Amino acid sequence: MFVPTEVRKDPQINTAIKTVLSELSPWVRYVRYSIDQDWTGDWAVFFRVVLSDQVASRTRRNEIVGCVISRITDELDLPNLGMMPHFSFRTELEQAELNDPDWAPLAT
Amino acid sequence: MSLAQDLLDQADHLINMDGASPKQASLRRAVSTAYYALFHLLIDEAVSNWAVVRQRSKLARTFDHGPMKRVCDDYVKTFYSAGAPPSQLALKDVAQTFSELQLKRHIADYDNSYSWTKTDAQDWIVRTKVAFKYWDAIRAQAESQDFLLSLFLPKLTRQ
Repeated sequence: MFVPTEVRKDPQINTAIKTVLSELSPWVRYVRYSIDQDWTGDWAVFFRVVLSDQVASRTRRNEIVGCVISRITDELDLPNLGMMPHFSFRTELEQAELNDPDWAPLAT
Repeated sequence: MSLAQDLLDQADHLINMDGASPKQASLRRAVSTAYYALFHLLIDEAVSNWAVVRQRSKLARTFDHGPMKRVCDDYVKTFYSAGAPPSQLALKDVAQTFSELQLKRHIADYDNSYSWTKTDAQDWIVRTKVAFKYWDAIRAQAESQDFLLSLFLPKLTRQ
C-alpha cells in the first residue's frame, strides 16, 4: 500500500510505542503497526499488540487491553497525527499457533 | 429489555456457544453484533429525545454508519486538542470504542483473510460492555447530549 509521506508519522508512532512498552512490560511483549486506509477511506494506524502468555486470565487481559488502548492513544498526539489508532491483540501462544507474519516480531 | 442490551447479550451467547473451539462464523457474528449493540444504544438514546414517539423509528433509520464514525473520530481528536479534560474521558472512550468497533465489524463481516481468535473477539465484547457502563454514567450530561445531537446531525460537528 502506497502511503503518502505527509501521512507517515513513524517517529511519533514509534516513540508512543516505546513509552507504553516501558510502562507495560512484561505484559506487553511487542507492538507492530501499519498505516492504511480504513473502510471509509480515512488514514489510520493499525496496531497489532502481542501480549505475554501470562496475561491469560480474562480479568488481567481486560485490564491490559484497556491500558494499552488508552496509553498509546494518549501518547500519540492525535490532533497532530491526524489519524485514528486501531488495535488488535494476541498472546504469544496465539501468534505461535496462527504463525501470521504480520504479527511476527521484527528482526533487530 | 432494550434491543441494544439484547444484542450485547446475544454477542456473549455467540462467542460462548461453541465452547473452547468456536467457529469463525460465531466469532464474526459476535463482533458484528457487539457493534450493533452500541450502534443501537446511541441511536435509541438520541431519538428518545424526540417528543413524538411514533416518529422515533423513522428518525432512527436516518443514522448513517460512516458519518457517525467521523463524528466519533472528531470527538476523540478534539478531546486531545482540549488537553484531555478528565470530565470528558468517559465520553471519549465511548466515541473511540464506537469507531473501533465499526472497523472490527467491517473486518468481521467482509474480510475473510483475518483469523479471529476467541480472546480477540472477546476483547471487543468486553470493550462494548465498558462503553455501555460508561454511557450509563454520563448519559444525562450536557456534553453527552450534544454528542448525540452530533451523531444525528453530523454536519453540525464539521461547522
